[in-house]
Amino acid sequence: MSDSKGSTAGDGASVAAIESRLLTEGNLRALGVVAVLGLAVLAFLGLSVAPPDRYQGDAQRLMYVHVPTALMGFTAFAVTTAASGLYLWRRTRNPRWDRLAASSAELGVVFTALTLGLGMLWGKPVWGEFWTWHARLVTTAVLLFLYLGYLALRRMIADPGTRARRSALAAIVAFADVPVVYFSVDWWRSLHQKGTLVNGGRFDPQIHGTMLLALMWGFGAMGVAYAYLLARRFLLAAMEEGIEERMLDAAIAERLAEAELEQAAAFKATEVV
Amino acid sequence: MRRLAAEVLLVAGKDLRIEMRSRVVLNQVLPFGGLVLLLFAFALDPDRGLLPRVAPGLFWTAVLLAALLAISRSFAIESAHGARDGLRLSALDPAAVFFGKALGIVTELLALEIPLASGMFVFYDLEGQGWGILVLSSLLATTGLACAGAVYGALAGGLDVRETLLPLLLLPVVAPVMLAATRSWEAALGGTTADAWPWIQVMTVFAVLYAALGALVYGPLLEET
Amino acid sequence: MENAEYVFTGWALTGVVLFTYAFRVARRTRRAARSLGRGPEPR
Repeated sequence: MSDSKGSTAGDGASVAAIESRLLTEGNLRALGVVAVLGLAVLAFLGLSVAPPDRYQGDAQRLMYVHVPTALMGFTAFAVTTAASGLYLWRRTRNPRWDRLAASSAELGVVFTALTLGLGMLWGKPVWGEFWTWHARLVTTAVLLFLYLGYLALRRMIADPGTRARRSALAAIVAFADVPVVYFSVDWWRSLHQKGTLVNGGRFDPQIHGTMLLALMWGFGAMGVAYAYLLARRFLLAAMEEGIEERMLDAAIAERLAEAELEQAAAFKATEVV
Repeated sequence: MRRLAAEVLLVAGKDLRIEMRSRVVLNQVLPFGGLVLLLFAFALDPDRGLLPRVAPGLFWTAVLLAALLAISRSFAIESAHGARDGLRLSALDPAAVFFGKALGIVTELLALEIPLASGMFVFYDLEGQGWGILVLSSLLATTGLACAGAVYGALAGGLDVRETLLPLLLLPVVAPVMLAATRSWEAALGGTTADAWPWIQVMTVFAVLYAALGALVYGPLLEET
Repeated sequence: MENAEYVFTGWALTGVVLFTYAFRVARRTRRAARSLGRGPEPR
């Protein structure tokens, strides 16, 4: 793999001092290794060590990935919102918060989509169908769409300043909606449940022993994976913004050069006469 | 406060006057709503007695789709002839601009909903009852839609692909309104008006939330190049 | 293992998605590093 010095700041894509000290290639690679190992151990725990569930059987093993990815999906959204707030607040305004918000949003899409997919794979053996209109599924689907809208908005705006500000506002406005969505859907769907809510998001409170261990490990492993991917994506964003700037500068320089030539030619024309 | 109200009416009045002269909502959006109701009848076969049962959902779907057009239109008129710059330079309170925009959209939507609902009562063969809840829930839902729409219309405003971007941004956000409005109408039409109250609360919370957000967000939103 | 097809599909899906995303970011990072390393280029 070529030496990707993602954190060097010699090109105007200024990555701040803290970032270049913390997010070094060495640290990131170590984090990546930890993430992979963590997931491998999780697979071992979830697929082999933990016993099958009393009621759900082996399908329950999907919970060890499904629940952590769901948690990461929500965490990513929270990070996006917090970073957006930091960007909008004048005292902490800095382009890096915008980059963090965007990076976390992309990860949020990945984790939330994965959550839905895993939930569907769990639902077929346990409920008999790939999809039901359970509150938790519906709200997760809405969350996914909120993310997609945020990313679509970003893609439509070329100017970095406008893009940062508008998407930050969009993130916060969407975040305010999440509790309303959650409660209204929860209330809606709970009316149609017989008895207590049994859904994929909540684990049996009697879970213990190796099952609990596997689940807890899952939170940790997914958390590390999220952090690693976020760091990589964040650095990439900084680099790509630097390239954007560079291209803009180049385009401006080009135009200036053209203008000078035009002026010189016009001047010459007047001279000849 | 009086100054704010005056500015709000100024902005709303401007939008409505433009509408009255161009008649886009009247000539295009209203027929669109009617068409949607017609198409639902094609899709759902009136003979199977399904239509009256799903009428509230269909109504609010039609309103939502029409609202997307109305909101889009509300911000399209701002991109012509440097109107956006005009708004910014006018030193109007940004919150007033927001409320004015939202008020204009509410007015247009209500003007849409009344003929649409009447048409639906007739053509889908509905029994009219629970009028109080029907009216209250419609007012609340429309206000919520307009406030959220004014926020997202401005966020997506000035961008070339506003037509496809706005629905993607707005629809997930207003899902609770759709839900609550439909359930309220079902309760009203079904004679179980007590069931509507929690949904009325949801819509009230939503409307207040987005009214507040809009007032806050329009300041930073308008101040850009 | 009962329902093994669902369980293994799910776990495989998780691995595939996460690794694919990681590789995508890595590839774009390499491309960006090269682009930055080359210095200002008139287009």
